[in-house]
Amino acid sequence: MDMALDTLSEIPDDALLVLFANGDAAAARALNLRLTPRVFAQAMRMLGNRAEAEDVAQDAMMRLWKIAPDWRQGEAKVTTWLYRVVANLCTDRLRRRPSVGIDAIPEPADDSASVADGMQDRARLDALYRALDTLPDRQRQAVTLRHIEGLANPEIAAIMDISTEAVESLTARGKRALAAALAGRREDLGYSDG
Amino acid sequence: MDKNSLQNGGQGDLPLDDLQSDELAALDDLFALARGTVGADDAFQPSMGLMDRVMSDALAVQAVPQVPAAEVIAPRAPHPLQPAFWRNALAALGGWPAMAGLVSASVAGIWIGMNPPSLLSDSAATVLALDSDDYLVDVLPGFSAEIDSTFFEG
Repeated sequence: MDMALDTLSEIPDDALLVLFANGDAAAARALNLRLTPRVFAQAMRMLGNRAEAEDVAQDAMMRLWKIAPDWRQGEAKVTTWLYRVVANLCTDRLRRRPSVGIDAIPEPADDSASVADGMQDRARLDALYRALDTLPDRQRQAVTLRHIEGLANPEIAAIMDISTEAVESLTARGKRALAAALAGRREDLGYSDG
Repeated sequence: MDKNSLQNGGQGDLPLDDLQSDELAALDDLFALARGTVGADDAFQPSMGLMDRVMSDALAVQAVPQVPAAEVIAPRAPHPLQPAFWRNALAALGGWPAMAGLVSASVAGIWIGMNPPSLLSDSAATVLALDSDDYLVDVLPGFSAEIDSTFFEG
């Protein structure tokens, strides 16, 4: 028998996944409500395009549903696994995009992709995401997870399957490259020199 | 500041401290702005259509019969009477059909050995010439004689 959603809210993700694999539809609803917004937001931050982010989110969640019967409790956090899946799916999509300089990337066609209310904030965030697009894949992934997702280095290391020291190196190099890429756009970003 | 070296991220990287503090501050502001928009901006909220599609996927996957997760998660202890070695040996031989043929041939061999048909007994006697000593060949005919002479001469 399915359990009520408020009861399920206290259950950890991996236990819900076991319930899901055993046919519990309420567990599916609880996981959907809990994880899909998080997955979508991550994809949106990495891709900056709503349609693509929705595709990635649906794909990532489908992989979660399919792996549920084989999920081993206690071995990995569901959210960490999902971060990795989404990051890889987004990286694949970004690789397929034509490689162009930061100033040549057009503004997003979809207005809903704009990420702030004020025009200034919107322009600044657009500049940030376009600068992120110019970074090598691993640097972009590490910087996004560290500085935008706000994850700790050990968790990023688990997601990217590298050492904590490698995460620190990637984020430092990525941050330097971002600062350099944005240095020439200070006027656009609303910062005055000096 | 050499932007090219920064962008390449090569071995000659400048430490973060060497970047202008206002550039880093601007970058940190941008990160904070990006973090702050999460959850507050509708652009980061999934549409109802996406939530419905994900739910439909989940129910479709559930509809397909699956091995219950509990069975997968529980470690499977090897059966005491069928250790992995015998399972592997059986697989190497070709499985149960090959094993059936092997057992049949073995039983037939044992039966023939215990109770040989007369035709086979006669043939074997002919081939091996059991009624003569011709098959006893002295491979070193001079050996014993030499030893003998050494013994008796020394």
